[in-house]
Amino acid sequence: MEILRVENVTKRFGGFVAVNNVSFTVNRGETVAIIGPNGAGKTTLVNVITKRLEPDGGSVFFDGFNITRLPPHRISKLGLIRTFQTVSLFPTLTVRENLALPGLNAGTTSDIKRIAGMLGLEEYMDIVVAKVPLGVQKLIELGMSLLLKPKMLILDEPVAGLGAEDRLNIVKVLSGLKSSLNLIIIEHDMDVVFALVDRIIVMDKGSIIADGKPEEVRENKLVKEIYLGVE
Amino acid sequence: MDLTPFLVQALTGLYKGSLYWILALGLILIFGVVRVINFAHAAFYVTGSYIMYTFYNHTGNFIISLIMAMVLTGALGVALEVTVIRRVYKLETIYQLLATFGIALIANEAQKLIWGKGVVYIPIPETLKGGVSVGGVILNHYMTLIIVAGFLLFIATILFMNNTVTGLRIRAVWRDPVMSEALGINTKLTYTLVFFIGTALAGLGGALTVPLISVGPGLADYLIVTAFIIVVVAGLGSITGAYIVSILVGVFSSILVLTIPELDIVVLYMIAALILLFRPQGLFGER
Amino acid sequence: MFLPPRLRVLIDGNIIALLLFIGFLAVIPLSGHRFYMYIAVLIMIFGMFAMGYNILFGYAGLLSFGHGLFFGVGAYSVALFTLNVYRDPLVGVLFSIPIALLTSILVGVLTLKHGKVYFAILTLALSMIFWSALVKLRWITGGTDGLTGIPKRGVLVDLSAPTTFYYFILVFFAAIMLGLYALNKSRYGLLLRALGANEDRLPFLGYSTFTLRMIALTVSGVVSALAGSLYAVFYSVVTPDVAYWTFGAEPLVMSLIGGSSYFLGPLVGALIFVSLTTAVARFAEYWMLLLGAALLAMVLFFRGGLLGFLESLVGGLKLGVYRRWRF
Repeated sequence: MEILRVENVTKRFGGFVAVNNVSFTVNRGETVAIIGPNGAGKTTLVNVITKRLEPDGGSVFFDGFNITRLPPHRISKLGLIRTFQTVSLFPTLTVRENLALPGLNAGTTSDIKRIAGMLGLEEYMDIVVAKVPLGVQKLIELGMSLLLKPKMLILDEPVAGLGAEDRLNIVKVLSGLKSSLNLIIIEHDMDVVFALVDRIIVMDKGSIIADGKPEEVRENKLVKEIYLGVE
Repeated sequence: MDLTPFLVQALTGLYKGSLYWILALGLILIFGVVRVINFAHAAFYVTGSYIMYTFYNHTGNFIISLIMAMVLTGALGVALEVTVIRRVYKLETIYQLLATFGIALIANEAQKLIWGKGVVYIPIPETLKGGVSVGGVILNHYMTLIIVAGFLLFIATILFMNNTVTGLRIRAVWRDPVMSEALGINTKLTYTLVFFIGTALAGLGGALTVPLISVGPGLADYLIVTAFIIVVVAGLGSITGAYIVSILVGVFSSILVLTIPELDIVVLYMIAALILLFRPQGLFGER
Repeated sequence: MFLPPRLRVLIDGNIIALLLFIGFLAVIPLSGHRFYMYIAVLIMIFGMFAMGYNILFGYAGLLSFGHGLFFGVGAYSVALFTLNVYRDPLVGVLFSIPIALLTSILVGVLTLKHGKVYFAILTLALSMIFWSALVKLRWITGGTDGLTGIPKRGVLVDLSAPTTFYYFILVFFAAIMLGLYALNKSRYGLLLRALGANEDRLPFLGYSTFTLRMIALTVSGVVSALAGSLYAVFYSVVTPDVAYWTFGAEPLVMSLIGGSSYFLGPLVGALIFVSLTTAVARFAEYWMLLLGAALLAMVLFFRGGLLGFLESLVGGLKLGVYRRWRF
């Protein structure tokens, strides 16, 4: 059964077509990666789905609702949650206050404790976010998203800029989540992608050029040429 | 019905609108390129008026006084850019607004200290005292000059921005300062240059105003609000839009004075508010 | 301290300082010194104005140049109401609340859908519209002369005795300060601070930034208008000056002087501002010059305000010190 359906979505910046007539469907329980070279349109696609950007054409359906015309906060309330490539938190608030923000909508104090424990954030709770290391900020971003009790979570490069240890930690957390919610991951780190997902969508120049199981995509000649071959 | 009073007001509105346009142009250039809303812009405009007044009283030469008003006001603008404004570029927008607001307050008071609390004016130059008849109404040569100068300034700005290397440089920084820097454009110098052009234009407008309207304390407060409304209604950053809206505001407000003198400004502001309610990006702005 | 955890969360340095200050204000009339009472009343009125202003400026990160509008709406509502409808200062002051609420919503609809730069410009423009209307609608507002004879003695309450009036103001002051403190500690306080910290992120957490901004503006507008209405009753006179943009910039300067990222910053700023203006009244002619210079100095050198400066003196001792006095 489907949870997300993207139909003929297009986004232009002036004359440049960043996302070109993209369509795909994600079923409940699927964990999907969107990969592709820089500038392929992955982040723009996510921005259009979550309405950070207005699409120039096409429709998006989530959990039975047409969300194409909804404002971002309504989309979040439906359970479609995203993170940002460059960490976007509330730098002047403490870690606890950051984690409490989604709690005002959905979670409770005990939820915050549980998530903080799972991500190993306890020791930072009363420190202002601007003063904690980047790796921790990425974890807070993840924690904040989880506290919103998402039905689907879209992660935009969750391990970019992190050291090996933090990467491992996040992969561990994510594989624990797979069973309870739908994940879409945009990631360059192929080890992370192959460790987590059951399906890979490959984008290049704004279009989907391959879509299938990881092993199929790995063998796809076109993908090898323009993406994996470069690595 | 005798339409003569309306024609008189429409012509008055044309020159008033042309002066608004000169004021608004500098504001837009500085906002577009330097990305600072210059609250002190009208204070520079009035400074131009006062400098014009002082030089004219000493030299009696209209042209020299006009040039001095432009150059000195521009120099003052550069001095402030280098000492104050430059230090707030990297801060949040809110602090840039605060800094220019502080400058506006200081400038207003300083003007009162230097030129007194009364109003100042100078006579219209002898050679421009005559007039031409437009539909039975005499249009003063000086007013014609301002209307024509405003229009030429509009054409010149468009040509300058589209056809010169400096114009290209300014447009590049306007579009994308980071990329421009990467391409080797000296953004710092461009900022200072644009600040000079913007404030010198304000000085020019102010200088041209003194023979027509008595200049005194409080004028800047009124002008900056009018300029903001013009720029916002036109759409922040639209040069052509600002010209058209300036002229419309000039003409419209002059005719309102005739029809509902009690509420002229209020009605004008209301219309502006309504336009923004239904077209937040302004009449000529892009979303 | 041996307090249950729930209470411990609610009590911090701010509330202790605030209660001590209210207590101090309460004993001033005992001195019998009229001048001190006069200054204290001004500090309370401008303290409310600045604290209300800072909900928008310090919390939500929105710079308004038009708060004279709200102050003026409060002042003129009480004046028009007591002079034309029902002659009582208390009812008049309370009447200004719904008027301020409606005004805030109207202003919000017009200004909040755009960016921060637009907000600053549009609030300035709206306050100037209001100001010109006050000057031009002479038959209602009395034009530049304003309205005189706002009564202290009314049908229900009689505030003509200075001490009675003093405590009347103090009750409003205490109620508003405690209310703002409760807001600061509530979930909305946190959301408003989040709005100032990173408003672009909030929609992706399920919050409408427009709604949150509207809440901030409404609280700010109503508190400012209440200060304005008390000001009008205090002087028995109201003129269009209170709606002029330079007047609207005063709470901004107070917030900056005290420190806009501290809960009590605006109140500290109002204290300094009022004491200073009263002390240097003979320099009143150059007042705006000083105001501008102070503003520039704050922006360039002391963005944390006085409280930020003090904190940097004692700071570094313990991270907790930083948090205790902030919002």
